[in-house]
Amino acid sequence: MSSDLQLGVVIAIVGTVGTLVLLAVVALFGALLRRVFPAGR
Amino acid sequence: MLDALLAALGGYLNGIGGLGLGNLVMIAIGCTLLYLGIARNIEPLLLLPIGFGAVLVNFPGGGLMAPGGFLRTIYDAGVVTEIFPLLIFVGIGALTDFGPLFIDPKLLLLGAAGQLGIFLTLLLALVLGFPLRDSVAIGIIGAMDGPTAIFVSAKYAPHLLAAVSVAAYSYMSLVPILQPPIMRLLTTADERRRVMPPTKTVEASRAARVVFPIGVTILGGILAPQGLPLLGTIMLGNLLRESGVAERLKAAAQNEIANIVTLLLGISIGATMQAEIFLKPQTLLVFGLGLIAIVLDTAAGVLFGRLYGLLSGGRINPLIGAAGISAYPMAARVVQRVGQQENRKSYLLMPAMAANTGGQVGSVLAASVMLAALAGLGIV
Repeated sequence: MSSDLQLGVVIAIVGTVGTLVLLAVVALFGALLRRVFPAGR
Repeated sequence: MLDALLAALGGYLNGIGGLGLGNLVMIAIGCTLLYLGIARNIEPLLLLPIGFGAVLVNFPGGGLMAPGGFLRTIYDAGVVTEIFPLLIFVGIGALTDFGPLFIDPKLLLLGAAGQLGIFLTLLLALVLGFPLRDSVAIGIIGAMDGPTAIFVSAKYAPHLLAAVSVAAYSYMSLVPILQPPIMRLLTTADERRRVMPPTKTVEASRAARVVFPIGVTILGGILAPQGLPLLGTIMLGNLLRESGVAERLKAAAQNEIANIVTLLLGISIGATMQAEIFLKPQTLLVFGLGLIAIVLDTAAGVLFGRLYGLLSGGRINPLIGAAGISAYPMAARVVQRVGQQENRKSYLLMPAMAANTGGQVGSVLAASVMLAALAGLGIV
C-alpha cells in the first residue's frame, strides 16, 4: 500500500469516527438545550 | 507609417490569432453553463457568473487572469485568502433554521452517515492515482456543500478548484434526480411505506436557539479548531439570525453580503476555467468521482437509516437517512416526496428536516475533522 493510500485510510477512519463523535456531541448539546430551555420559555 | 499600421492591425487581430481550439471548447463550456443556469434554472446564481467567467478568461489577449488583471485581483483577494467561502457561510448561517434539530436531536446522527461519501471517495481517488492533496479536494465534493468544497480545494488543490466547485454545485442541483432511485434500491417497500409517529415538540425556545450557535462554536473550537473558520462563520450568521437584536446585520448577511460574494466567488471560479488548466482528463475523473461521492453519501445515509429503524423497533422510516446530506432543504423535500409517493399517509418532512440539519452541520464538521487530521499529519 502506498504511503499516500495509508495516509488516506488514516484520514478516512479519523474523519468518519471524528465526524460521528462531533455530531453526537452537538446532538447531546441540542438535547441538553431542549431540556434546559424547553419550548414556550 | 506602414510598419505602424501593420503593428496596430496585428494587435487588433491578435484576439483571433491567439484563440486556440482549447479556448473555443472552454467558451462553449462556459456558454453551456450559462444555458443551464438561465434556460434550465440550475443553480443560476452560481452557474451564471461561473459560466461568464469561463467565457471571459478564455480570450488570451484579455489578460483578465494576468497579474493585476480584473479577475486575478478578485481571485487573489477572495479565493486565495479563502475569504469568499467564509463570507458565504455567514450568509448561509443567517438563512438556516437549526430549529428542526431540537425536534429529535438523535436524528442529527444521520448527518454523519451522509458524509461517508467524502472519505470513501478520497480513498477511491487515491486508488486511481491522484495525489493525497488532490484526493482530499475531490473527496470534499461529497460534503455536498459548495463553500466547504471551495474552502478545502482552494487550500489543498487550487488547480482543481473549478472542477470541484462546478461538480459540487451541479450535483447538488441534481439531488432530486439522483437520490430517489438509490433510496428505492436500498429499502424494502414496507420500509418506505412506514409511517413515523408525529413529533412531540415543534418549536425550540428562543434561548435554546441563541445558545446553540455559541455553544457549538465553543465545542468545535475545542474539538476541531482547524475547522473553526467554517464552523465559526456559519454559527456567527446563525447567531445574527437568532439573537433578534441585530436585524440589520442579519439582513445584510442574508442579502447584500451573500449576493455580492456569490457574484465575486462565481466569477472567480469561472476565471480558473482556463483551457490549459481545465481541459485535462483528470477533470472528467473529478466529475465522475464527485458523482460517486454523492451516490455513496445517499447510500450510507439510507443504510444508516435502516439500522436506526431496526434499533428503534421500526419507528424510523429509513428514507429520512437520505436527508443526512448538506443540500438543505432540498434533500428533506425529496424524502417527503418519495415517502408520499409510497404512502399518502406518510409525512416525513419534519424528521427529514432534522436529519438534513444534521447533514448541514455534519458536512462542516466532517471538513473540520479532515482539516484537523491533515494538520496532525503535517499536511497543511
